[in-house]
Amino acid sequence: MNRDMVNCKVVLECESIKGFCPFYKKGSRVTFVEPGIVMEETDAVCFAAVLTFAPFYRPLIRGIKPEDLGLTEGYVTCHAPPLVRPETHGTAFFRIRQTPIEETIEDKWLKGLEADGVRGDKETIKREYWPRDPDKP
Amino acid sequence: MEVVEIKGRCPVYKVGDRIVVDPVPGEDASVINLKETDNICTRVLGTALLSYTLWFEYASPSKGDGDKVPWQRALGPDYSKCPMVGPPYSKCGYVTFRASGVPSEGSGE
Repeated sequence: MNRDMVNCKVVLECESIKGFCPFYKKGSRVTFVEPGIVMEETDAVCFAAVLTFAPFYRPLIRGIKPEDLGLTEGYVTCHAPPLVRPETHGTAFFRIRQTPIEETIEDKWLKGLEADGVRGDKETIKREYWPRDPDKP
Repeated sequence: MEVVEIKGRCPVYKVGDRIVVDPVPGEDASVINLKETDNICTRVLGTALLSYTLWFEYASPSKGDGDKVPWQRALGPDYSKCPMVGPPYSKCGYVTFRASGVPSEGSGE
């Protein structure tokens, strides 16, 4: 089992749609870099489809290979089953593409802070942001 | 939520298995009924499937007929599948769930 703990960019690329889907078409992408979705590299976000992918988000973005998760050929689907019923939409099939990255969004943010004169290790910088009233919205 | 179909091999569910969610009486909370639930696969937990439960819980009929259709729609059935593609593309097969709500006492139905 390959357990390289390397941060990864994870792209879900729509391979095909079986049935009617108002949202995705072949080639549509959803791109994840911890801790979120990179909108500049994302064509559409179907909330239920992304939620269905959620259990795999953490291991994949931290470098676990799809085949180690039982995703033998590196595909997942959305939540819609391929049933011929008026309640259901078409099923979107996504291919998982993993690319190791040097920096997460948080790393870039911390670098930006450093450029703005906020110095110190991650722990020290985070302390600068600790709230005085953490229970208030 | 009841398992209506399995394509390929699923080591967790069989057709007819159920996940039952109950509202906590008098509270804004709901829980998985562990006595009536056959199994909870972590690859289903946290997906869009469970978001149906809050919809069922909070949808309610109004006095008039206007909300009748949304209310009936909230009760389902709605169909969802787990994220697995099925053989040969994934080790396990995929499971299709039918989600439906049962009006509880005091819901107005």
